[in-house]
Amino acid sequence: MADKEIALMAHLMRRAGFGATFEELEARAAKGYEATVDELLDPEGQPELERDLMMRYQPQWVSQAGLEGQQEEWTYRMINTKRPLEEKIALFWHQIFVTGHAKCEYPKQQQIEFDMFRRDGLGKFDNLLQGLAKDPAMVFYLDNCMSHKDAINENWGRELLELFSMGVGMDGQVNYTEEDVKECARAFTGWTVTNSIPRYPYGKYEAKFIYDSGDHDNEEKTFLGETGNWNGEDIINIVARQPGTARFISRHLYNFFVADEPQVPAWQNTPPGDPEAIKALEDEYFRSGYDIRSMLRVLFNSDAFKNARFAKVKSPTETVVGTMRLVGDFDLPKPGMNAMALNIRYMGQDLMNPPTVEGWHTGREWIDSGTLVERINFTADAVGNTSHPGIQSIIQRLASRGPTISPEQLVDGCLDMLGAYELTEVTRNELLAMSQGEGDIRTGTQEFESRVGQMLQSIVATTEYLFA
Amino acid sequence: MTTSTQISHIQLQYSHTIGRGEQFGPGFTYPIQMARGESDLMYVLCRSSEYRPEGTRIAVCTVNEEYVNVFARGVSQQGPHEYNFEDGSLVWPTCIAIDSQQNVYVSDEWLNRISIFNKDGEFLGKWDISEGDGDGEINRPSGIAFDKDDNLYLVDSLNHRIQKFTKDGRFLAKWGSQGSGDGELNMPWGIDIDRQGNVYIADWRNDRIQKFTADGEFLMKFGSSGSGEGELNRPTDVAVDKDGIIYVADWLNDRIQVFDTDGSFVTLRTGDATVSKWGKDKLDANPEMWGERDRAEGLEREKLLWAPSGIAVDDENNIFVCEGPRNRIQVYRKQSPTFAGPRL
Amino acid sequence: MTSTKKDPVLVVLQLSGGNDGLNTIIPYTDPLYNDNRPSVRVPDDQVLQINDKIGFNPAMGPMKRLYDEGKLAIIQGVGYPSPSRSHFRSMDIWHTCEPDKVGDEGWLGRAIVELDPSKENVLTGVNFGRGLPRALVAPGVPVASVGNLESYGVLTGIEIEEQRAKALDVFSRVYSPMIGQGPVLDYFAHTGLDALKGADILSTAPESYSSTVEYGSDTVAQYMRNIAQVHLANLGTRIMYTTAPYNSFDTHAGELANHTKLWTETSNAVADFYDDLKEHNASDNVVLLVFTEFGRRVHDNGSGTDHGSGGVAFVVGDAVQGGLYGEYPSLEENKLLEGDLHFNNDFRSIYAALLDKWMGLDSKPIVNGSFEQMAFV
Repeated sequence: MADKEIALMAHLMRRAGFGATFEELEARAAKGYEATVDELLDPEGQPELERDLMMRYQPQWVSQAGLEGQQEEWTYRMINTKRPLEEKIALFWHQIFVTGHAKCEYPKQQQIEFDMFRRDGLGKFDNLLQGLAKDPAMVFYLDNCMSHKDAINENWGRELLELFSMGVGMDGQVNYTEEDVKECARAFTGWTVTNSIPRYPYGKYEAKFIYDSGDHDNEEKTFLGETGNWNGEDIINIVARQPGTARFISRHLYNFFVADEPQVPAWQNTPPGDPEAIKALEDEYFRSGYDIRSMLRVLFNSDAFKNARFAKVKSPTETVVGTMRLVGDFDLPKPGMNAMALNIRYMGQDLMNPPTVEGWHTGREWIDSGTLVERINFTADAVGNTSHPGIQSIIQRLASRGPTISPEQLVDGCLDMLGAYELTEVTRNELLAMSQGEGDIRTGTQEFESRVGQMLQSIVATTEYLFA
Repeated sequence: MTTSTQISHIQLQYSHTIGRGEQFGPGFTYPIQMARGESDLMYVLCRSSEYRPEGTRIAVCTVNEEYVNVFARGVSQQGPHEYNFEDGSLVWPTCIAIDSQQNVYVSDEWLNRISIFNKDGEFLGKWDISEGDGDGEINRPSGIAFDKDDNLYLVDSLNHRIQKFTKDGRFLAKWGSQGSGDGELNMPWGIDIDRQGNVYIADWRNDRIQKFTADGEFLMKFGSSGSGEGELNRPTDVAVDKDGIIYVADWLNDRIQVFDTDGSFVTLRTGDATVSKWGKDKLDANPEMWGERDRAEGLEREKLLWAPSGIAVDDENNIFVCEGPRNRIQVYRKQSPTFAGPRL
Repeated sequence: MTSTKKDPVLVVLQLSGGNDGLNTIIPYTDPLYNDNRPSVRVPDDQVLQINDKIGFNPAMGPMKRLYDEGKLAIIQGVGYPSPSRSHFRSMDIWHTCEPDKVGDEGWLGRAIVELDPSKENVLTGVNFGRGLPRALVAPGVPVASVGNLESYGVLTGIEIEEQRAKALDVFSRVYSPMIGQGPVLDYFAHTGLDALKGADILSTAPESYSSTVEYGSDTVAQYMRNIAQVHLANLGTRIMYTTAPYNSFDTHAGELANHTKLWTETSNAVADFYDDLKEHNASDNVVLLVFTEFGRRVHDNGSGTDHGSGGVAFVVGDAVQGGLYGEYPSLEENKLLEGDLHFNNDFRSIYAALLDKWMGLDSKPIVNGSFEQMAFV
């Protein structure tokens, strides 16, 4: 059984980041939990990735013109960043503020949006929404550029309320009416994008947001009971101060960082699993002036979070990135990046290209018989490759415990090294039995390496390992 | 006493643009480098990406954008097939150079390989060089260039040095080590050799160009980090013309710069691209795009260079700028302001 | 084992990238074809003539043979209103039958629900290739995605057979549902065992297979062979799907050479598949649909063709009434839609005919509406 502090640090790093090697966990545990939370919440305090190096070896990451290339690039960033929460919060917002390649067809435009998530995603929520409303990928994805003062298109106006801020309702009540959706859409008329340069012959160019005052509905609107000649900024200011927004964002943070909740459409009528934790986040939302960083500080330091180990099913992105960080592969650009990143798609999360504007269904819905096979085989192949530096390091650490180790030491040691995982009694006994049947475990032999590899493979194939 | 306007003795005039984004046939896929062949042939090295391995190739065309053929191929790393690094395949090709017999040499920084083709693209052979830092071993080769005796100079990027080989791959000499002092290098990339046999290196992470004798003796350096005139941001390549004028692909500043023989700044260009011949064919086949261009905001952005990675100059004073992300090559001509007559 | 009536099986081959319909079924006597294709034209004397107007691409000899035998239907002018020239969007529309909004359920996923509502067979639907096409997605529908039939399974990376057996043994026991472990773990346990079971069953297919037909070595041929193997193993699989390699039909450049290669491979694979089933007396209950997400521009771009609309689809099988269906879209300029061929057959009418007349399902809820059904099956 791992040191309690290591186990807690492993939990924090899986949630606030993409997991960490045992060495990193030890180093962070020595610094302390709260100090680590502070460090994670201050990404700019850590060095950036070496962009010039990435672009030198992967030139397609310069043009950002292809979906696969940008999926590679993001995966590479997540594996190698020294600012794990910066990428994690970008992923969080991408799973909520959905734009999709199937419609946008210009990954660079989505990357510009993700850069906004990286830059502003831990800041004030209203500021982030203002940016989102002016983000060309979003304006195009949700058709606000097709909304005119004489012919409104409600798509953005509706999703802003339903999916991006308040949700349809809470505590069995509705948060807004159809009339509010219309008034909201009216307020955003004239928020559009420039005409783009066609993709032939030299590829696309980024679009720009423009405000076309001539196409803006300049009349009075009544939105959520407040009347005025509202423009889009006003709507966002009104939205940001709604209790429904505090609830919705708190539940999203909880669902992503703490424990799986029911799917979002159920939130109107299904109360939070942990109402107290949600209340604390809602309070902090208002106290801090809608500050996401402050909410996360409260969240990571709460008992609700600390007690929620393994209460979440890992997403495909977390699975692939976490595995790569653990085994220490792809820490420099090299070929094979594409095939590796595609595993995230095969496991059911086509990054940058979600199935609908509602994003992905999370939690247990990540798993079906097809995606389970992809997940287990990918993870098992990676941890079973004893030439990976991360796996070598696990082998060396276990070997340092003596010339022979017991089956219990092998099983529990491997569980620790994977991030203080815990198994049910039944599963642990199966693995022990497997190990016992193979005789003495002599470290420092070639056979020991393969036995560690096999044990790791068996562990990552368990249901327990599907959780983070 | 007369007044005079000080003018630069070198001017660049934009000529035309070659290319369009295409995985096969006429067009390029991330053209990272090129080399001029005999008469008006040009060999354009397309790096492409691993999810589009069919785009990794050498595209041969003329300076006037007539398509000739393509050869070599990328390696698929997807699907049920195993990696296949057979003869003629390219994974991470970096540079292309042509010897006096018009044979084409291509460096590959992943395979640590030099592949050799004849001028028609027929595979002739390869050097699979051991990865390492000993004499004749390499670690991620980038720029390559021939001297007039057909010796191959190779930028050994992760060993931060230059190595010299015979055209058959026998090690002759080396110089350089990691650092930022005179003669030291930091992840160098491009290379060129002038008529006198002096060697110019794009000292990538030091944001400068260095000039050496053929034996590796340090002669001069110019450039420093920044975006002002004469400053560089990760220069990828350097080319020297017959008069010793030096052209630099200033990668992250999205421009090219011209330096005099002594390394002093002369001029710079940020791009002048126009619709290429192949580009026009493409637009004619998609006529609504002509209309979209009329409506488009900021069409002038189409002129601008974006991360130029290769620069080459020929004996006719053409300067070729390989612009990977835009799948094209912008061609300039060097003009001398000397009065050429006959009319005023 | 003798079965009195064999269940109908539907196989779908997706030609990704947008096949150039104009150079597939070629209007070789139409002067407008020559005019519009100065560079990307199949010479009229090479076309495999169907009649005095149209003919097959010369690389499609094997499919022409099936056509001559009356086993192949050519559906001309296929598309949908307001065509999208985006690969992703157009393919999504074909997969979900939702031209106006983004749908998340696939038509074949829904069909699988109807075919096997109580999920008795984990292999009712099988996809060949990595990752699941949206056509096969429906909530709670398990569909195996087989990258490589010879090596498909759980923990296939463990090379030593004895070790793998041991690991699978442990796996099967730790995935056994137990009382009191809650619905999520229970679901995972079932899912894990389903996956194991599906893989076990599938692994028997290549073992029991033998044939005199020699398929090509290209990906499409190998997957069509896999589909034949699974069909011949009588696993109760009703829907099988495979895709030509990613965007391979996206012939923006170098089209003539590429398209010839693509259709040589595809046409051989289709005919080999049919012959293989025929050899095993198993061709009577299989229908194959071959489709692509869009056609290409009428006018070439000097070396290839760009994204257009109005494509051609094929339906192959013993049960198929071979022949020509629909009209060949006009190439006259005033009949084009933004420079593209104008569709006259909604793709959903093909689906509807396959679902109703072949699979015996009610097509309306699956394809989201009523469509005229062609009589090709």
